[in-house]
Amino acid sequence: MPDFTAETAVSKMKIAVLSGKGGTGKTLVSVNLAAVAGHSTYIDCDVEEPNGHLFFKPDIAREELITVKIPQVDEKQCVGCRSCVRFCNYNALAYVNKKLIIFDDVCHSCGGCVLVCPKSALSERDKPIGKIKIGVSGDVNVYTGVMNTGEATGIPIINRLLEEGSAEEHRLTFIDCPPGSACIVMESIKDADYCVLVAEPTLFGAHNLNMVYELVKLFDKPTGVVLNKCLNEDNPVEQFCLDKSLEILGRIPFDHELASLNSNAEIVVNKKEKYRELFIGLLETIVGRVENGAASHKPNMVHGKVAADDQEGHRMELEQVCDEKVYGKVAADDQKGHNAEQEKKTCGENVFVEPGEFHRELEGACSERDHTSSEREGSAK
Amino acid sequence: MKIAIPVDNNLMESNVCTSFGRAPFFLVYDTETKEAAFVENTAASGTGGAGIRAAQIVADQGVGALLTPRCGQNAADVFRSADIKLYRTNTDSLKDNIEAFVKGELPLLEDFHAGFHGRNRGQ
Repeated sequence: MPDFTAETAVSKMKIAVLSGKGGTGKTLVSVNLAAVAGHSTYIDCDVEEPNGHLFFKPDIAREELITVKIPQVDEKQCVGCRSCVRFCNYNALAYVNKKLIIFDDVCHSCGGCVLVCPKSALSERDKPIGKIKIGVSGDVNVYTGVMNTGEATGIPIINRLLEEGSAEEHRLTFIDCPPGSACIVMESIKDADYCVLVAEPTLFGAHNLNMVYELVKLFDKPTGVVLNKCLNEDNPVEQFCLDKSLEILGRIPFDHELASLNSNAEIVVNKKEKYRELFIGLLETIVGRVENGAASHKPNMVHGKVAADDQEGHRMELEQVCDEKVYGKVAADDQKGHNAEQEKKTCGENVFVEPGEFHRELEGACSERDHTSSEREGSAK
Repeated sequence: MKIAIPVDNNLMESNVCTSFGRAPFFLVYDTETKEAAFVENTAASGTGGAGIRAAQIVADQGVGALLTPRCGQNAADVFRSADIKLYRTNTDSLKDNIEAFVKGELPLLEDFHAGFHGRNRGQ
């Protein structure tokens, strides 16, 4: 188990935990990884329904209100030229009966209307959309973003969270992302060094995993998968990972005791040695990949032969910890199938684009609001 | 009085459109002169705030009433500010609704939906 208090490359790493929908176990994975890592930072970017704090129960040291800029009109100055109405790409403004109407909820805070007003009749005011809470739980720093109900986007909250969470260097950081693959998730992973995708063992789970997999691929992030709620039966996600050469970092069993502890907002690694061992194994695997990924910085490189060999070692440990039936041999054999040569070839064909460039392109393309709400449907977190 | 109705096509035989903000056209009809004109709804293809923009287009036609099967809250706010009354259509037929309005048979539309924002957008 590495010492994360030392100032190493790993201790600066940011690991994002994502999933295609709510309720797959992002918070279970990120909270318990942060807890076993110790001297770590946990950032809850799931601002619509943050619940990592329920597990950490942090002592809150500081709260900060997050606001966005909304236009306001000085009716005495307004001449009704409608420059602002025409300019607004989101149709947040209307002018009827010699009066400007401003729809705060539709406004994207671009500030354009203020700039185009020839009479300087528009100015900006702060509108609160939520807050961030910074606290401590043991040796874990806990950052939580909370968005006010009914607000359209939590992106300003996430930006501030990540800024604050990165202020203190040399802490291994775990980012608990919002569900889905919308703009709000892109914002959460943009600075991550590694992405852990959590998936349920169903066809639906494989479909949702594909959504986030495509997203992290666009960002050129090294990636691995954690299978949650594993049963002793066919798992369509295993096949998906095989098809996409995605490494399975670990498997969490469909375990009554674990579910029960987690439902009672307990950090499972602090309650049972077998869960502590499971998450230590998972953490070591991830850290190994982060180091590997940092050296090569290409997503496919992490599936090299070395990785497959490591994997076997961990699987042995995991098998001792949990029910053998859950952790079948299939996956270990699958991993062996990848040889280093094949991997190199794949990487050679990749078109390397700076992640930052990609992000800017995506920001441009994504003119719509966040659409996480539809992805939450049917999810019980 | 000039009235407006969201329609599927720019023909008098058209049906009333089930959406207000995303209707492709609005019929602007003068109940006294019986003059009819179709106005394209340029808001229909927008990414968001279509109801607000559509309400602006309708208000700019100088109508006193809108006949529509439904209307979102944001558009309703624009119409309230513009002193435009909203009436609920009772059939699909454009002509039948105009007739019913002239006879004073259409009820006022008083319940507005919060909008369909964020729905059916997929990922």
